[in-house]
Amino acid sequence: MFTNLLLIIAALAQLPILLMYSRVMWNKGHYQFFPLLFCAVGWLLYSRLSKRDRNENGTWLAVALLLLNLIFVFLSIAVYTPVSVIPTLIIFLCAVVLDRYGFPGLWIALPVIAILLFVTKLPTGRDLFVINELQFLASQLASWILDSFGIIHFREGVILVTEKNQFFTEEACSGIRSLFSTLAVVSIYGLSRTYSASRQIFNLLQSIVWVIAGNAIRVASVVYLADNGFEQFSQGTLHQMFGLATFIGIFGVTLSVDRVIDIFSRGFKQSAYGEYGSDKAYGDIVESEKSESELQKAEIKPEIPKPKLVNFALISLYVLVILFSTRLTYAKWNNFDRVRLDISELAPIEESQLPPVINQWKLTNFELKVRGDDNLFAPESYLWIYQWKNLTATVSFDAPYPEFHDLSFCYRGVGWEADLIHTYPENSEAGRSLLELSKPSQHGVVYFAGYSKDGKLVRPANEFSPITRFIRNIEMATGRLAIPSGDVNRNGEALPISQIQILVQSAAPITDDATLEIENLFDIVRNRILSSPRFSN
Amino acid sequence: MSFIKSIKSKIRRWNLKRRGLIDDCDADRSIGSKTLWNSIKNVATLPIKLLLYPLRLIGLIQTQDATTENENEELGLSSRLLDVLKRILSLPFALLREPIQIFKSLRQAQLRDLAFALPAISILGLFGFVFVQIFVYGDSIDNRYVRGAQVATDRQDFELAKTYYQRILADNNITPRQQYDWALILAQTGEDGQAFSLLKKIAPDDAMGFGPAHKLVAVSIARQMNSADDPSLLNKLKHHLIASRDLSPEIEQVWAAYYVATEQTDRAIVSLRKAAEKNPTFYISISKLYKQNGQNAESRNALKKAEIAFRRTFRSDQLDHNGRVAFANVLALLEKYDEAEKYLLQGRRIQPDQFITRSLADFYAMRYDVARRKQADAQTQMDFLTQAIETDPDYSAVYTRMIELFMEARESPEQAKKIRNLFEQIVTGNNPTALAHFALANILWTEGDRDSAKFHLEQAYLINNNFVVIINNLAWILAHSENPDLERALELAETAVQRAPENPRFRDTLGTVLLKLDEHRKAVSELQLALKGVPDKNAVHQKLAICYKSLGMNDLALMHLERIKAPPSEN
Repeated sequence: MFTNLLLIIAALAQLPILLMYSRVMWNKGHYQFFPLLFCAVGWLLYSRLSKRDRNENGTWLAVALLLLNLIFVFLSIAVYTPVSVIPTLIIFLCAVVLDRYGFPGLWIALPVIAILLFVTKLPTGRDLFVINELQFLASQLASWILDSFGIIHFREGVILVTEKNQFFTEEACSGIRSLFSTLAVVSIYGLSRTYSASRQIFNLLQSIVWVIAGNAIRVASVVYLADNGFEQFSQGTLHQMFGLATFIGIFGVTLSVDRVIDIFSRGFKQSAYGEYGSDKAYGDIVESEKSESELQKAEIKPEIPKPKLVNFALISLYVLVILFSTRLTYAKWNNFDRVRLDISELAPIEESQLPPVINQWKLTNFELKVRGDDNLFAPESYLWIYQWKNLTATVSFDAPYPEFHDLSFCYRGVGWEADLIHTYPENSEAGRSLLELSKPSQHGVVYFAGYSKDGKLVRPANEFSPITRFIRNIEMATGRLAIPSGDVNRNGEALPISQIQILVQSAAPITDDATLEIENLFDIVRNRILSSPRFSN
Repeated sequence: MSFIKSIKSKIRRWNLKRRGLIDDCDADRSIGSKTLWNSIKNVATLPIKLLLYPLRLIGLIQTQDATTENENEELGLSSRLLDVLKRILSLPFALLREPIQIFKSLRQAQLRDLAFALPAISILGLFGFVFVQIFVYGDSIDNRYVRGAQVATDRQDFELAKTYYQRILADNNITPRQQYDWALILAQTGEDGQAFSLLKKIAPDDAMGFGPAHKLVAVSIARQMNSADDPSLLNKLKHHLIASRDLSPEIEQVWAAYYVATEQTDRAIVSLRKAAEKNPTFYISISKLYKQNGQNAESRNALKKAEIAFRRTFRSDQLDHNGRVAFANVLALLEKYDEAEKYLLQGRRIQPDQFITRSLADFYAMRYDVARRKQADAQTQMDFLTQAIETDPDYSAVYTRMIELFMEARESPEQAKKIRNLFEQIVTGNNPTALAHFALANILWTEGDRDSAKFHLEQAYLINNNFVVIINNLAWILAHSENPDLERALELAETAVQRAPENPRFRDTLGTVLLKLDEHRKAVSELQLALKGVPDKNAVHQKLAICYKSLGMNDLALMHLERIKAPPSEN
């Protein structure tokens, strides 16, 4: 159905969204294996399809899929989100395979194409949620292991504290990187061995179990070793090597269990798992063994449109999309998630930016904390400690962030139960977020709000409508909106984002009077900090 | 139909096997084996098959899934539905057959194949062990932390105790006693605010809580209480005293404080008598109360009772410096100075330590105060202070008195010279002290010899850089000398403020140095904090006016100038 020219142009049209996808995903450690996955998918598709005959008949489904791909490419680039890039790519590959090899080819290729789902970016916050949950799970299991062997410690969220040290279960230690990459590798292995669906599913499920177990054992081992004189295991090269060994171990255990399953198939010519050495890939579900003539009789033959017209129409549409994508990509060249912003670019904040007395709060201490990029908290924080009666308010000015930073993840990570409430009125710069914290024998509140480099309020991701982003990008691509200069994020907010927060902790629940005082303090502090050189236009 | 056929074929196979006409492998192969994996496969793919049926019906896809054993047979919709139903109904039978298949396969397996399972078995075994420890023996793990916390608290290893308690806190069944111990640990490790909040929680102001916590809160309130003008504070104190359900001497003392605040002296004395039965030191408080009431005879009687009680306890434990010093205090109050001095000197000979040395120096300082009150001659006063300095050269209270005496004796050059000579002897002696240099520096500053004063302050700082007042004074002198070293002055002033942020004089020094360095904005912050507590507010207002004027805030500068009051006229 499709000419080579159409397919080439359609492939070119995928490039801008793949470029955007690569720039975003390369910054996320648990997705960094995606280039290898693309290669593996390409190799598997080639090895399977190259042995099949080409299909000369087209179907309307292939046309429909290509049209769907066109729409998705346009939407992906217009909303500028990497979430829809992989589904778009999957649709494109299905359309191509269906056109060239027909339904038999599609069914053979579908399991391979489905592997790409392992590098689909989860929607906003979902990957953070998964990471968070895995961090908690790894910490909890590691804590149980340490308890079983009598090692004295306690756990605060994702931090394990022993008598001598504190250990933070980072994102890399949570198992998220092992999980995605192991699932992908196991799938590739199964497909290369032409396993059936049931065995594939079993291997995927068992690998999840080993990932969780392996990371918990790794965390517990690091705690034990670092506490007993081998601190080098807790950071640096040896720590990275330990992680790599854990990944290899997890994959090894998965393979060993898979090898054991062979016991149940020994002695049978017809394997329970498909046919050894066969080029039939999907086992028993949809493999048609009817003769070609019977297939032709059974097939529904739709009326084939004139290829030239369809091809011409699709080529034109794709060219338009390419032009639009190119324009928008150029306009948003700086608009990607810059995670590592150079702190030295930021104007310093003086202690005197906040007065020694605010209402009834008295300043008792000031300090500047500089932490690493991988810390649970901000890379750089200015802290003012205020005291009123028995309450201590920690005013913190944190930076740099690439977008609104949801503090609930941070506080849950250190053991708090946190309820998040956003209050962002329309057309108002006075919005803020509130976290109500609790843990055994302690209560707390956090008021926080983020501001862009030009002093504008930054709204949480779910407050920022994709439709707004879509309209904005259309205007930018068509020249109705000027291309922003300097660094901005995907929401058009000038980078870096800085965040103001106030934390108050107490053993007793915080009273209404105290809440009012804290809110007043936040408003005054916010106004003061926004007048600092950091936010000069 | 096909289901019934498959049942028939199975019965036929079983018969053949029973008669030995076919073996297991052949039988299974001839029929087509259904292994565990085929069953799982069927179950897993059933939803997908159900999903694909509508698509197949409209001809978009072709599948094998609807075919039966007879591949040439075309199936209609109803047949396909029946086929699905057949598979669902046969599934339980298929699953029941699987354990037998598994057993057969395992019998045929080789040892090296099973060895592949070792890593997985090891990990599963480890987690099995872990789960048993956690869920079966979990209570013993919790008890381990409770015991560890108690041991660490008893040993006063508060950081270790903190680790244990953090774990116990995570358990929602924490007892009030454990919360109380945790509050004490928080207080010991510098987290006073949290400790206090926790204590308020377990010892509420309006209900009965944990007794020992109420006791602590009562003691804390008593320390804050200065007068009976705050009725809510007194009410709170009374509530916590009752809720403490405690009869210890410490609580009796607090009861006494409450009664004194509410002008119930008789009841205060009764409480203190109860406390004094266990601790004779309370007789001193009883004596003071009697004296305040003008009952001098009763006051003296109380002191005599204390003397008798102390003589009794002192005989049994001569190494107890606390008792010895309290006894000496009683003797001094009874004006038996020689005897008091004798016991203190004896204590220093038997077991010299900082406490007894300081107490002896205090005794001489007290003799100086008495002599001063009785307007004894300056030589006598100085003799006492000299003894105090010689006893404890590092006691700042003595130096303060010496400087006061120097100020008064300036009119007598001979006396002034003697005092200055005394300090010079100390600083040139075998054990020069920072305080001696500091005192000498103050004397020289008063005399106008700033260079010498600066020299001695530097020496004092070099000998002991822990005295914040020395750091502050040195910063001041460096900033005000003819060739000021403002950078060093700033460093010293910031150090002083860091160590004692509440001291307004130190804030004044830092603000002054910042002013001299033209950092007016920062100077304003410091001087504002100094304004609240410095005795000479005029000077601070003056400096603030200069700062605001430099910052272009003339209105504020004028307001500060207006606040400068005229000095009181001298009569």
